[in-house]
Amino acid sequence: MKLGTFDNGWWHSACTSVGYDARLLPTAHSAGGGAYAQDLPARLEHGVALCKSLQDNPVDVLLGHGGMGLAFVPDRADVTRLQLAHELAGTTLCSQLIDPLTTVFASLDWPIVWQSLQSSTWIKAIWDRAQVHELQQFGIPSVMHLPMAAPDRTYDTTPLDAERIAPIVSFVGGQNTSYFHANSNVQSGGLLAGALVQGLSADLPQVSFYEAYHNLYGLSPAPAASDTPAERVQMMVAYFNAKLVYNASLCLKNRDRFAIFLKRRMGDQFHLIGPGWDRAYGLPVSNRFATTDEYLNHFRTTAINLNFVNGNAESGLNMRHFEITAAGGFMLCYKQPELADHFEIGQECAVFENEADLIEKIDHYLNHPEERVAMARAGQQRTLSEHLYSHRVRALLRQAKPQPIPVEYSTGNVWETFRQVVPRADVVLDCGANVGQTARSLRNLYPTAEVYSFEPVSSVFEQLKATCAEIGAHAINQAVSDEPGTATMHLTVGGEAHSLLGFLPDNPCARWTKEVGSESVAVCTLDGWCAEQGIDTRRVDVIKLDIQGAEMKALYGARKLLETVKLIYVEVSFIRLYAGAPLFEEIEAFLSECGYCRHAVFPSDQPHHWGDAIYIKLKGRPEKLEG
Amino acid sequence: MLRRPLRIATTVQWEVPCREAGFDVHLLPEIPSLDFNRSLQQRLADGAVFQPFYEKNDIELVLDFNTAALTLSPHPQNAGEFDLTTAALGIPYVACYLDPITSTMAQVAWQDHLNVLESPSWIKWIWEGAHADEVGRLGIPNIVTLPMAAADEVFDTSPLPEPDPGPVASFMGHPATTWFQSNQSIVSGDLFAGMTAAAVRADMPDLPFHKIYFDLHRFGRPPEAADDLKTRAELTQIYYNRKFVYNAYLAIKQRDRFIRFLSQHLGDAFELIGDNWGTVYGFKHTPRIWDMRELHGRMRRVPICLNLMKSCQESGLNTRHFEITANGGFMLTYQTPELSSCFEIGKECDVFHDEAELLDKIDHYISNPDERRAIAAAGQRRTLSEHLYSHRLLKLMRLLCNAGVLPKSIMADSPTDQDAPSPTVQPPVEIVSP
Repeated sequence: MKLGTFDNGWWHSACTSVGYDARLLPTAHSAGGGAYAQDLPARLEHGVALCKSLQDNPVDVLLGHGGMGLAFVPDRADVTRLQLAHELAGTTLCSQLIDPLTTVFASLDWPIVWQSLQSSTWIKAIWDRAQVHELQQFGIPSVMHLPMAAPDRTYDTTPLDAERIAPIVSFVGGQNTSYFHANSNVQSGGLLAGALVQGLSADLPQVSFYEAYHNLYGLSPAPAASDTPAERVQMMVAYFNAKLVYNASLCLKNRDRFAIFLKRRMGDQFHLIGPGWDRAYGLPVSNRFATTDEYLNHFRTTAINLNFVNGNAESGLNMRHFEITAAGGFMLCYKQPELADHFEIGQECAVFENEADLIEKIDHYLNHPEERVAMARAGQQRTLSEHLYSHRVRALLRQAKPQPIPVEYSTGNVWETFRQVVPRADVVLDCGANVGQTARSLRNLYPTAEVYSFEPVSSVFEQLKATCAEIGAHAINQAVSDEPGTATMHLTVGGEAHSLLGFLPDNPCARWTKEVGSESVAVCTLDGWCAEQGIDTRRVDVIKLDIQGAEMKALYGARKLLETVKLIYVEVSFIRLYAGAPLFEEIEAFLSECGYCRHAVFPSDQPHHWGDAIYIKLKGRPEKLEG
Repeated sequence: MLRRPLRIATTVQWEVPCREAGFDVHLLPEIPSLDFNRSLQQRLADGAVFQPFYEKNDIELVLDFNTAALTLSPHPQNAGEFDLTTAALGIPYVACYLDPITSTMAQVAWQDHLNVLESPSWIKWIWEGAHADEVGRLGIPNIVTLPMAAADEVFDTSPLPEPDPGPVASFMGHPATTWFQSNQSIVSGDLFAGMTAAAVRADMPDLPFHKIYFDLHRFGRPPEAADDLKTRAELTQIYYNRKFVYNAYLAIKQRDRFIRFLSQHLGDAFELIGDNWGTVYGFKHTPRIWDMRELHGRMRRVPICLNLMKSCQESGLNTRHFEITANGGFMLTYQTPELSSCFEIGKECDVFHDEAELLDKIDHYISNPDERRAIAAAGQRRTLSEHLYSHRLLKLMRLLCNAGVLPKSIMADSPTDQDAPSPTVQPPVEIVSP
């Protein structure tokens, strides 16, 4: 497998460590918004460079962190729209999101953020389970939980000599929030959600902000399958704005309060090493480290290495947990829900619960060096055997390259299968109708049904209109996708592969997908179209999708319909033909989440490349989207 | 019990227990401005009404309910200065101090406020340990710590009737804060101490704000005797300004959050009786029941009476704890540190610690009406035997006699401590003789 990384850092060394061919790719200039929060111009510049590099030398998976690798290129046909660079290049991007969305994407507008999040070929690796759950509930695809880790390098594993370790306590890390020192005016009403959840978490620490906000206190309705993308964006913006105060309070709760407390209690015996403390709280800080070796050695020569997570962590661990232990240092850290998933508390690291406990534990471990040293050694063994980035890279690649689902083609007749599953239909939606070939079959199958055939391309639509007039169906001159408006239709030779998505240059079906022009077309979502037409979505029994790679987008725009539609007939690809198009496995996973089960797959004339699958509804409202 | 009747000026709340204890009771004058939160000028004007009243009736003790009778008079020697009216006459003034210091006398400038608080005449009866300790840390003398109680009335002690059809749980009270709906502007830096204290409290739930502020995180120092009045007033004002956000947080934590939760999850099975819930949060509610007989009757006829504290409670109990139990209602209350000093939890009332447990316990007690009734009956027995104002009055009088505020000779036959029932674990009592 060929991998691409963006700097010579954690992922690169991890890939090298496990023997993967990892190529260094151009990185974005950070001037436009910081290393992990580039603004749009920087990401556009990066996108062009990235695509060029990948065109010359393609890779299977891109690995980054902090949203790195999320780059854009202008749509060739419509420069006001953007395409995700990795989608255009036909590769999968795995980027670990260390900071919350509001930080990573601080320089981007929400519509672009939403477009990016909707990319099913961007694996969003998140280190905090609460954040994973939060994004999944908002309907973001391809979110995986991936804990932080220690970088792969050679660590000193010689036993610590307790006699040579200074009896000092130290914390390495920056001051965590400027919110309480910015002295900006805030409105008391904006504090309500944060105060509510802070009150709750004092009594029920395991409940996440998302659960409290939507489910316990009903501060806003939970995202529903029927929400339009615009509504979801609006809900996310409101949600993350309300969460800001809670995150700020977590900064105090998880980190700043302990640093201030200890500095005032212990004075010079507590070494505070990191930026911001002096400016924010007037606390004296020790010098930072000149080299990584010096940094790692510090953990080995300090009696007690404290670890306080920051305000974006509701449940997960930060990188310091793994760095301290990998270096062989003794770690005393604030309680955190996911800690026990990674370390045996009391054996591989120690935990404190509050200020009083912290003072007691410091006193205890300063007076019991052998216990401390033994724990540090066990912690190092655990991290070096389980918590390096090389361990994480395997998990990430399993997600990035899911095992192909073995497909056994049905030898039956498509329309007979339709008849068995849905003997009678009230309303049928035929998307990607072309000249009406499928519409004829559907009419024959369901003589009394209302058949609506969608075809956006003007030249083909004229023929469709004639067919529909003949068979008593309705021709709709629109494309279906995940949001309404207009879009560029990429026109191809042959007329049967026009697509809303850009074509991948090296796809094996280039003969049919050679682009010969473009056309601006009207776009609707199926949910939105039903609402406009006054069609109760519960009347729709069948949806057919043959829209050349845009199937997932159409399904996203049909979440309400997916609550009740009985049968979905969808073209599925086993190779990626279009930029950002879903593979069969991804369609399967999404429809499964929505309560559908694959009933049959029928071969195409290119059975190794694509086929047509029938999914049938197993249950009512999809649980996963209910929240 | 009393050798001779002590001449007490008091309010209607104390009238019955004082008379039954044998005191010579004189009700305080009824004046239109009798408000616990009025201006310095008004208190001086009211002093001119109260002083002749005290003199005419030769009053020996003023027992107030909530500082409504806290009046001032010009200082006899120092022109332009003032003193408590009672101080000028050498009468001890005891006031049950219900609301936090910032509410009582909010209209009075801090330096004057502190001057009054430090008056040797005023004995502050504070009903929770955290608040009493806090006031003591600020250098305020003459503090008596005694829990709230139920008013002495004739209570219905017959077995509880069958509950009315309809809601299974009821809360009677108002929103604990309107701050989060008022959209007041606040500087983010002013949130720091309050939010830090909230974080600490999450991990150390028994630690009151003053200990977090002064001892644990040292946001400031308490006033000292060596400080001049201006400095003491400044330090006290800063302390309470910073505590404001913490109090708003407590209002949400201890009361409003549960109302939001139950409104979401129980629907019509939850009854909300009180004012302003609609305007503040948009919750369905019925207005406050002014008729106490009707209110108390409701406590007996709803299966579960919920009790949620306000923001001024860090450790103690409110009046509702005693009111619900005195009337024989079944009380399910949010945890508070001093609860077990007044009631046996699980036998005389029950507690919940969070939303999940609240739902579980509501479900449990709806399914177990006999257990609920037994707890309610035991709670009523406890309150009627130990937690009425008459019980508190005896305790208070003994404390005042022991401290030399009142002559011991007023206590005929000097009843022993065992004669005056007290909570099983009495919060610390501190009193400095004026």
